[in-house]
Amino acid sequence: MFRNTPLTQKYLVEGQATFIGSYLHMFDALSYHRWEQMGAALRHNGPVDDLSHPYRYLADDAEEPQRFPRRSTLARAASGMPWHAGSISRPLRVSSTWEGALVRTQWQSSTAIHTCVLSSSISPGGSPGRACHAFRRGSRTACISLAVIMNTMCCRQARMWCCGQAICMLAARKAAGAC
Amino acid sequence: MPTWWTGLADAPPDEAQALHALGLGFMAARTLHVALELRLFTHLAVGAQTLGQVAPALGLAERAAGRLLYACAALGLVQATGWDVS
Repeated sequence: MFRNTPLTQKYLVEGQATFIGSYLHMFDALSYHRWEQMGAALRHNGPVDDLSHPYRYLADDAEEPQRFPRRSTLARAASGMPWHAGSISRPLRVSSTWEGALVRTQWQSSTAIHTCVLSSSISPGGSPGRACHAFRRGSRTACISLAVIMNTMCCRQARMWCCGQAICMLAARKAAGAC
Repeated sequence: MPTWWTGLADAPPDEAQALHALGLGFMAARTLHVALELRLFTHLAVGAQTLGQVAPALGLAERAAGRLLYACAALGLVQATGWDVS
């Protein structure tokens, strides 16, 4: 007979408020491939993106800030298309500090200050690191994911994309059902 | 049991097991992620189940489900009763 251990029962059972399984799984889905490329990236001294990888879009087209309209942002994010953060709140002022393995990023829009903690180490292959952050903007709760240029392992201003993975949507749904 | 990778700085110099655990950490991580992907823990949330009950619920052959369950048991994610680990 098999049963969950207390820790598993608390944190890895879907439908519970304490469930973090989708968050943990996000790291596998988004970054496992990048970590697999770590050796090649170091030898290559740069990104070694596999263009056939489903998350390749996160590293693509950094210079196209206004590709998509403001509306249906979340729908586009959920479908895996890039989205420039400037389309929702500009100007952005971003500051970042290293805190061990984490980067705490704070950015300020015209309406609020948003803080997000990013795992700075999830993309050693040179592609953006990502994290998900539900934020409130006016009366609407949305969910975005930041992409951080990891070539230099630091945050750069106005280089953010939305990835809208499952955890984002889940967080947003939990927050307000807005997604 | 060494804790996470940041714990190695304080590991005794002869603690080769810590390096072993670190080097093979991907196995544990993949086991956890696959179990999450298959929603194993959610299926087990209702209570103890046999291998014959878990396997079809996960859409796996019993042999495959057994491997996953025993791996999770070894990691302490699942409790297996009637399983001789000696």
